[in-house]
Amino acid sequence: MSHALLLCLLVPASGVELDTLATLGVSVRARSTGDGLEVAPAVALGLGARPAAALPLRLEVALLTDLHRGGGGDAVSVSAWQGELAVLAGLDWRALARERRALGLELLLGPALRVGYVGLHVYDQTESTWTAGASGVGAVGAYYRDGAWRLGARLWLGVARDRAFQAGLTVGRQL
Amino acid sequence: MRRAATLLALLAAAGCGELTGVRVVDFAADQGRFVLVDVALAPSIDLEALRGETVVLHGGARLDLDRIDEAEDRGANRAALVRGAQPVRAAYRRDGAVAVPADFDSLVMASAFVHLEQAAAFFAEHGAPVPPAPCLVAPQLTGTWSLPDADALAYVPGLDLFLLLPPGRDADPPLAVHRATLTHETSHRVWYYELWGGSLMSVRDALDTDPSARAGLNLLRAANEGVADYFAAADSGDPRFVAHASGASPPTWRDLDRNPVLDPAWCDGTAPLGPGGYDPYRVGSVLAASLWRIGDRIGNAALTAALLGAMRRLGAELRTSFSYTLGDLERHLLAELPDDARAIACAELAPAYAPIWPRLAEACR
Repeated sequence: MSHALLLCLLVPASGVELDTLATLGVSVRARSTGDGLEVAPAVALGLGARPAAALPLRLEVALLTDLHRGGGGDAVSVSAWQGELAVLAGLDWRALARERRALGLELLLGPALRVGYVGLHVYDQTESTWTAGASGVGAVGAYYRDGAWRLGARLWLGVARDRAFQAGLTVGRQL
Repeated sequence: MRRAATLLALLAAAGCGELTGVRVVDFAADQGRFVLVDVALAPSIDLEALRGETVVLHGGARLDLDRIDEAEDRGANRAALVRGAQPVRAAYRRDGAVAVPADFDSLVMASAFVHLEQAAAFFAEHGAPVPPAPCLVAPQLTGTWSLPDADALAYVPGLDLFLLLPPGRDADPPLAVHRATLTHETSHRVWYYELWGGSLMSVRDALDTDPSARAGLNLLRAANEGVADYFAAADSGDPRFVAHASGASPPTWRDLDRNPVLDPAWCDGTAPLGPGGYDPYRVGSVLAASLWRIGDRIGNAALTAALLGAMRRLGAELRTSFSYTLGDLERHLLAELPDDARAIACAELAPAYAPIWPRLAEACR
């Protein structure tokens, strides 16, 4: 599987379509106090491939992160960051394809490597913790393609990611 | 390829295994500053919901303060008065076997939770266990009267629960990360159970119709605050915990290592007055500092046990017939102490309680 993916990504030949994709939007997660939601800017960058034009299949490598921060004051505060590197595969169904234009729906799933940092600060004392672990990511979206460009919207769902999801608008370009 | 697989296996292993501790903020009296500490966890604790053996945190609650008068003892009708409470969902990362709070709310809640559990354990070790109680985090409070400030901690006897109000901009660090402050609040709960036997509401309703009981209730509030300050200092080893919790302009008159003296004007329970009416902390500070000095000489463990005994004796007396005058708690405390410790306590109390000493000295004979 991994060799096949590498081949798809590195050899844009024999009908393989490669594209880059950026998603800008928001990350929404439940507040730790159990009361309401927190919203922060979020971004995802991806490199995708459609192995064969006739097959409704998409492979993608994506980096996801958001700007949720820990919060606090001058004396006691928390700084935090979390990101994921995901390898996704799934359905890329192009409906209403006409010449160079198409409307598409995509449903992707895959494993992810989640990396995070937490810094606890109490006056001049700081305890830093880096973490890494396996996770899972899913994405569901819709797009409009016109030639080399595609515009769309995506919803990202992370497994064990502090109950957060990301949603945003995507811009992509075929390579 | 094999190297990548090994790396992935190591990363996966880093997220496995049982958590044995949690990282929280506390004040280190020996260092004179707030620090991060790793605290061991009991296996029964639900760290995400912050549900322990004696406290469970809830978020999203709504409470109409005007309806507290409807409260029944031991939180019997709490569910009808507190609406919308739901479990908190604290977020953590792992540092080995230690859970590290991943955001500020989680850090404050985890710190408050740990300190409330520790305070309950302190009292349980001295023979005063308390049943589990909820703690409402950042509740939405409504009503015609309100609590004085944000960043307040409170124990509400009628509902038998704690309130943890959100820290304001000036509350840095928040009170909730300060263990002694939570021991102080837990002491009010122990007072409710040990002195009032968990039956305060019916007594209070009866006393509300008796204006002459008001002064006695004020003095009892002062004793409650003084005892709470002493227990907080004894548990934390910090006689200046109020100043350390209060930031830039601490009220040093509540330091327990000072020697305040009872003002004769305070003895009838009508003075001193503060912004909100009777100020129980001034009179309480005389008791707290006296207890601190006595504990220093006879040991805080012995004094804590005797003080809890005095609370029970006083409670039994009050529930028979409510009449409280300044020095009644101290009189029962002296009765609880063995002869040698009583002599020491009398020597410490005499100068601080000079205005009422002729009456209190009878307990020293």
